[in-house]
Amino acid sequence: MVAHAATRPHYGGTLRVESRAALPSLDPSQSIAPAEIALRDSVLSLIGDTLVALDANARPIPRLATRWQSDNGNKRWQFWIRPGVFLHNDASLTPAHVAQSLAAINPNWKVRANSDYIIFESELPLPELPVELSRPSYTILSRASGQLVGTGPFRIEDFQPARRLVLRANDDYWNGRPYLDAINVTLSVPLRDQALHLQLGQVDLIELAPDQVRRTSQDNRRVATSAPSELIAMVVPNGSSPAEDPRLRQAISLAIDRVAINNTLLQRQGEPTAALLPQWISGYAFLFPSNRDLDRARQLRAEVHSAQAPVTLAYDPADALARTIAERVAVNARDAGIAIQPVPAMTNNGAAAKLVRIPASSANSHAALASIASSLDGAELPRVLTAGTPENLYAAERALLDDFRIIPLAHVPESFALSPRIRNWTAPRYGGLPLHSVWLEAAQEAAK
Amino acid sequence: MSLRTKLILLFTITIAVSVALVTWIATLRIRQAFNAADAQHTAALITQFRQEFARRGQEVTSSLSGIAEGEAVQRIALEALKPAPDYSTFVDEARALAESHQLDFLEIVAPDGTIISSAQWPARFGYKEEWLTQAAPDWSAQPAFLKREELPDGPALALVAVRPVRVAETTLFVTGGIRLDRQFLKSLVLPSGMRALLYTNTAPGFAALSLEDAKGPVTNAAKLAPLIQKVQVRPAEISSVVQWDATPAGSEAFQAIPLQGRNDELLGILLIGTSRRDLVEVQTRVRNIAFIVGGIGIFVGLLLSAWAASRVTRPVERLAAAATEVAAGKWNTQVEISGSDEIAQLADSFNQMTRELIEQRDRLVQSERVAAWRELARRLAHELKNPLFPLQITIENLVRSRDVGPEQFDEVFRESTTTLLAELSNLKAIIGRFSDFAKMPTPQLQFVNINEVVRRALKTYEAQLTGVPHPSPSGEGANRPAITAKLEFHDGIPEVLADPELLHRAVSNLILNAMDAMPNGGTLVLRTRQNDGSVRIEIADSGTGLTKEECARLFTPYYTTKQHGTGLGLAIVQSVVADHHGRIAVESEPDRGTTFRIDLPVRPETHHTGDARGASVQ
Repeated sequence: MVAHAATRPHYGGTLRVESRAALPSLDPSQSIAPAEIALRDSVLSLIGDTLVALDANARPIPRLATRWQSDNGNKRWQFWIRPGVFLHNDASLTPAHVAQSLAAINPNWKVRANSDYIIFESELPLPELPVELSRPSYTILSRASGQLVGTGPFRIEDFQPARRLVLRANDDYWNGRPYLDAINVTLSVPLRDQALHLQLGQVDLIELAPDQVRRTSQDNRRVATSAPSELIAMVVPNGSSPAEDPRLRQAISLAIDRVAINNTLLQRQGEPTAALLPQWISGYAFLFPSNRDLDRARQLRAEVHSAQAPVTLAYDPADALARTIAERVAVNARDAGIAIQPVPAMTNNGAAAKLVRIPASSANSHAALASIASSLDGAELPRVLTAGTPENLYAAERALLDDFRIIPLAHVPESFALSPRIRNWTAPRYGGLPLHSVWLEAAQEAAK
Repeated sequence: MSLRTKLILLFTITIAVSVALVTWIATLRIRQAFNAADAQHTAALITQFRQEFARRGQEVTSSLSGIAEGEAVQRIALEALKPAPDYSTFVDEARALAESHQLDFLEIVAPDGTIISSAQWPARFGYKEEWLTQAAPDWSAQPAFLKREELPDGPALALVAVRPVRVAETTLFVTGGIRLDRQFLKSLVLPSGMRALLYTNTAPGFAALSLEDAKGPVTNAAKLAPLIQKVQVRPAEISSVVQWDATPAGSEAFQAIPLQGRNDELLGILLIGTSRRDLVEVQTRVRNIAFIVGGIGIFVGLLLSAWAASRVTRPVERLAAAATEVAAGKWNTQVEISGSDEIAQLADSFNQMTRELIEQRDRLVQSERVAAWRELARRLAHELKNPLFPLQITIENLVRSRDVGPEQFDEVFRESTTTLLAELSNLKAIIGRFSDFAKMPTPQLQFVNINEVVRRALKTYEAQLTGVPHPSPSGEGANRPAITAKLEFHDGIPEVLADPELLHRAVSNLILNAMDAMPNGGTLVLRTRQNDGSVRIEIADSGTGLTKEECARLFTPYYTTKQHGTGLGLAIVQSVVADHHGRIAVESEPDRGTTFRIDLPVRPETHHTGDARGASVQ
């Protein structure tokens, strides 16, 4: 956490950001790789607003919706839209815009616009709908004339997927103009290059892998780290023939030395876990034992009588840490007599399993679990949205993990290295880029 | 097979064998030379491999020493001194150090054998390298050695070394090296036609993918499986030839050298392959040249041998033909002489021989003729002298009796005229016998039973054989001891085509001779029997016998061993036998009797024996 209370906020300046994400699309209605979600969520929070936000205690607070109410056993919800909000195309935000935006993201919802509010109707109760709507993926956006237009503090000036994104400050933002004039995001930059560019002063903000954090700190660089919120997991899709036997998947899970992965590969920056949500969000992650049990793993492996073909484990070839983790999983599995072959392929072409990184995107356990579940192909949370109690969340998470198609490994924080001129960095605990509140020190001041 | 054919064959075979022998020797020498060169190349390559191996080992050792003394490892060593060392920050050190020192393998190992950082398999941190701590020699003095290195994609063969890093009481280990693979093979300088293969012995049995050369995996590697399996069973240098395809040039000689680790475990096999293509091509070229030269040689040899053989054999053939003519009685045969070589000398000698034969024959004929005339004169003188002397005495008595009285004269006259008539008659008989010999009649052939002929001839002399005193057929003596005649006739003897009277006369002469040969009596055996296509008559006596010289001249006309014989008897017998195309032979020894054998053909025309007429003596 960085704060310079003695310095007066300064308007202006362009923040230069680099990311390894390619960001093929900003539209939340389009599916992208889990590793891309964190940056997209951050960008969405800059170009738009959700109806509801979460406070420091992860409780819903008004955003574009000024108030809401439910009836009929949480099957019918009404959200009153904030007046005087303008889209980046100078059009006034209407309930119709909101209803269209939400319907585009979730076609299953029945959303109707009224004069100054929208109505949700569902056959099932939706007790956590406000929390759900706080997720960045439900950012209200207008898709008029094929362009994404939001209400956020920044508007899109230029977007070239996998190359660059330029955001310009929205002077008419309903919640006050941001300090920055512009944000230039260079996409698809490897982590090593980002570190080099930061050293050369060519960039203000870069991403850090967990194994870079300690070294970067030792180099007296400014490092901003969230709580461990990003899930690193091995996912085995349905129909993966080499790992179709759940006992084999369980054996893999039991064979993995998560502590060693966290201590060495993640440089103790994360938390070893066998749960989807981190302990600090859910409070019950300890109920999912993450200890290594090699004897039990071998026993399970022995119960799988058929000769096992190597389980291919795909990882992001641009992510060196992912490769090392995949190789470590293979080494651990080998101890249990299971052959795992790491393969550098992000598209999961023919691979039996893949190594994924999924951001929590929210400090709220319901929203976070929903976010994680929605990021997993084929994973469903049938009861999460209908019952938001901790017991139900635990049951839902247990249901997701029971067949070992998702094998959590660790929760890691989102980490960034910042140039000295970045001020007022107030990132939420679950991560993300709080660039709407950041201001840049003037050049003379920075030189001091 | 003629001499010429034999000579041509001999020449051809000699040329072919010579060419084959030269080809074989040349091929053998070439093979030996190639084998020697291959052995030298292989030995040089093995030496080069070992030198390269040693050089790389020194490089590895040197690199590890540098790493061990470097700042990075020293920092790790300092961390190891802490009560609870945290090695997590060093997990990537090995990779960077390996890259900077161009090592394929590098591991930094904690004092308890735990991997702190691994370049070749970063994910293996925290695992133990027990071989480093279990058998702990003085690693600082250990040279580089071969080791099986575990990698994510399978085991590999590595040339590694270990260097300890001592800080205070603790000792870290830095172990690393280079991979022995196709890159290492590429660094070897190979002579043309040779290649080096490396088999990584990762598992029992043969694995084709573990075999590679400088270009990569070896195609059709299974052909090398037997050789590799032999080395796996008994790690030693072994040679073998591998036939890659059906052509002779498709073979390759391999020398397998086991590559063993510190504990003599077989970790790899170096295979030095030498293509036999050059050898086979040279051998094929030599063989083709030999075939061409041999073919030309045989062709030329055939021509030359035909020419030479004709030069040699033509005179010989002429000589052979001349000899055949001489054998046929044409003694005046002469051979054409050309040149002055041995064959010409032989031909000249042949001509000389035939000339001398003719001269000797002429001389012999002349001398025999003279001898015959002398013998005839002696016989005539002898035969004629006997009656002439009584004639002379009788006439002289008659002349002297004119002086005595008439009665006495008349008596003398009567006696004298009787004597004269008797002697004249005797003279006429002598002349008649000579006349008969001169006028032997032509045989009147008819089927004759030989047994009957012999029996009739014996019957003529039956009275003289009984032992009763009787005058001898020749008129000598009054009594003679008894002669026992034995007839041993073959009953089934076939009739022969012959003149019975002439045969009777011949057999009678022989019986008479036998009787004369037994003045003191004895046994006369007359025997007939059948031979193959002929019949035999044997007249054997137990008389005084004959010497060899007598036997040799026995059939000569006018020769006789008797006091008063004319010497014509056996000549007549021989003449009769010859006229019947038969043969007569005599077998005799002094005091053991004599046996005459007459063989007559059943059909005379089918058994023409020529004039040999065959008389033979045993």
